[in-house]
Amino acid sequence: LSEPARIAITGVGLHSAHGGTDETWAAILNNRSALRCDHAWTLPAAEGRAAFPAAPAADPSPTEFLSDRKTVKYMGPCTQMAVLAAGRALRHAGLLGEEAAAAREGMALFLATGPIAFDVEQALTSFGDQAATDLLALRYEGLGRCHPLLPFKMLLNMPLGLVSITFGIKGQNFILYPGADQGALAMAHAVRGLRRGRFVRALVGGSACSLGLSPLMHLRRAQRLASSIEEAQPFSARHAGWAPADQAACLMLETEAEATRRSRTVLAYLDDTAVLGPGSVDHLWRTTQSTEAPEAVFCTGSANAGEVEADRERARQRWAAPPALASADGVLGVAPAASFVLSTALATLALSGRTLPAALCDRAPAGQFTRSWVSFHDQQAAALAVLAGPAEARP
Amino acid sequence: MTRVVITGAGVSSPLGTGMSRFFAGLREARSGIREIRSFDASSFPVRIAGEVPDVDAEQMPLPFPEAAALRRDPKALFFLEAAREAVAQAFGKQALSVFLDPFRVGMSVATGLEIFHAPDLFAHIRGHQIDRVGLFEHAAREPTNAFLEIPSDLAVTCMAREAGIRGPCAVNVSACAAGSQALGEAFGLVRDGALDAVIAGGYDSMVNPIGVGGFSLLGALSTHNELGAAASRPFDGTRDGFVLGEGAAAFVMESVDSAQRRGAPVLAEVLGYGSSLDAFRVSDPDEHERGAVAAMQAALEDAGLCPAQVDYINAHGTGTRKNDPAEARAIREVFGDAPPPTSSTKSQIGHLIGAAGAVEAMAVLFALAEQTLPATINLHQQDPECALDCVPNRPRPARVRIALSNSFGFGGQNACLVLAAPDPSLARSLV
Repeated sequence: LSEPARIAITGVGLHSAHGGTDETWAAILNNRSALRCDHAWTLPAAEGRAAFPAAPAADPSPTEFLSDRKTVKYMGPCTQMAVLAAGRALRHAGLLGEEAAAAREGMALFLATGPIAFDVEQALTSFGDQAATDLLALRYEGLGRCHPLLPFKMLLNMPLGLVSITFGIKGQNFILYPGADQGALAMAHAVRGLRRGRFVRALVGGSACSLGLSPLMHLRRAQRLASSIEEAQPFSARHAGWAPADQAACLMLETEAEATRRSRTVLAYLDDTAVLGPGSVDHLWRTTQSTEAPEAVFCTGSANAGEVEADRERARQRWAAPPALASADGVLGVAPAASFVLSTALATLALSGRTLPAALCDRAPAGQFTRSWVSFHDQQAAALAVLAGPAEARP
Repeated sequence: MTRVVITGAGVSSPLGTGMSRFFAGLREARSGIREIRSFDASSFPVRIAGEVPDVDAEQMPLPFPEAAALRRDPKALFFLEAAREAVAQAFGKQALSVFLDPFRVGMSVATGLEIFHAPDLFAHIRGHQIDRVGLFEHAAREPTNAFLEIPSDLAVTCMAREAGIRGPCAVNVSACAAGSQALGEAFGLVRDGALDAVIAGGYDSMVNPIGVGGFSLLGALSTHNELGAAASRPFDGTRDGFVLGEGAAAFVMESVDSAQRRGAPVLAEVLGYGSSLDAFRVSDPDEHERGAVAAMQAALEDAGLCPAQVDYINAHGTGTRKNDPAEARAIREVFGDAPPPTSSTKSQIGHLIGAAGAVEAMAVLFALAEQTLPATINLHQQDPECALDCVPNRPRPARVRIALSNSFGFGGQNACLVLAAPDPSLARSLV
């Protein structure tokens, strides 16, 4: 039997509160947090409630890759961020220009999104001055007053459609919704297809807008909204809740053979991904195939200090020398469908540089950073990814 | 690779809830389109739709208290009905964990937009602004998932918990292609041995003010309200847009080994799946139909079949001016000058958007089980640009061994499934 193909990550694309991939990574290396309380969703102090921390995205206008203003008008912010992250991952992998059009055409595209701007207020406000009155128009004057582009900003498949249209990607595809596990499923599906030879490269990603009326309502009800920046820090004893964020992340995955053929630098290897359903985190940690201990486990989506401690205990039970825990949640915030892919992207950048930034971890790992896990779990799902640095021999 | 079979199926549709009612509706070439009853549509340009007539939100048993929010989201209830029917057919009264490792059973389900309860929001409009503080405080007092918006995936979570599923649950939102994609991905998971079984399906309802209003803004819907049951007219020269429908379908897909071990009924075999992207324009199909052609060819190649082996095509067949001739050209491109009979069951149930592919796969099951081609009703003046045998107005007895189901999404996603009548050697079949 032939050995299954090893999967290489050859491109990373991000869009966060700090901006693009380089700006985001530089901010992390410089220990600069994106969380702030002076954002558009700050509640009036007179109401007696403290503002909550959040990480709104930097300007998501995708003009970096798309000059057609008519198409841009169709895009909600989640779609715009998906296009930005996808374009940056393609560029990082050397697959952006006209000369790579044929390579992009047969590429697979698996995305996750959510929450998206089917948040009527957010969809409407993207139309500018007319926005504030449109909601009222819908109520009092009927549909005719609403903007005809409103449906495009509400449909959940638009990130997939617009990434495909912008970059000419025509291969196998889907878009999933709305949690971090769905981003992990997109990655797992790409890995399975690559190993089985169904395609030689796949763009996977997640894009999410947590800073909208409905997502914030959900977080408030579920008591997952941190009330201070300190509470949003996963490694703080006072950790309680998230700082919601708008984010997108994409990864360019290809077989190692294809990366070698194209003479591309491998940033990291994605050696395994696994996703399970509700109440499965312990089973997943026990059963995931990985012969050597990672130096760090990137965790995302933990709701409180108890959950982080439970992850630490799982690590202690699995390995004699437990790895460091790392998380971007405390510096970039949490955007559900994007967060697992984003964590994998940050682990990839760290592995390619062999250094885990101090801003992300509970303690610095000893020696070089060569192996990492990425972990997510909540009440509905659990997901893991196993990564190795570029110089790692096959386990 | 593992052979994949369907051992359970359930449906909730404008023709009724349950496979027997749905099959009867197809057999009788009945329309499920009528005047909208679920909200006051009198001020809307479109006042007809295919609504599910027989699901009682108040009476439906729910698996746990937090699921009460689902009563405000009809599409979620349609899915619970369909999934329960499918699971009962596949496993009888036994828990699926009796037969399968729950960690190796997953879900792959398509859905659409989250239901936005505009009245929840309207109550907090002060002047011309939304009172965010009031909203936040109100939300904090409400139980999880019961205010403003019901998470689209809540029905999937509920079904996973009710059935004891511990494997991955994918929620596909690829618009009109989502249902077929969800089934296709489920097929791939079982065929590749990643899972032993998957509950696959789709559920959607856009029959609400936002859905009807939004598609009206796009000019995609038929405005011939006066035609009622005759308004959905795929492939007809007088068609003027699609009619919205709602509903759900669910299937238990599992490896043939697993089905044979417990002597489960085999309703159909899944042979292949293909997906593609148009990468053309947001609102128009590729003018040379390359995406649709690629998806059909990929599905046939995946199934190891040549076009001549296909006995029936369930078309995407929306009834819009652009879709139908484009699909007809794509079919002729793949199948040549004598394509197999091709009908659109959207003529009877409307366009179920995220659930369309799943419910139309149920129509394919009808064709395979009853050896009868479902009709394209309301087809009286066939558009010469849609040069296909569209099985006009009456179902037609035929030998149907292999069928293709097409779904082409708004935004350029295409997905095609190939299903086959059960191989008599596999297990006892429905027929």
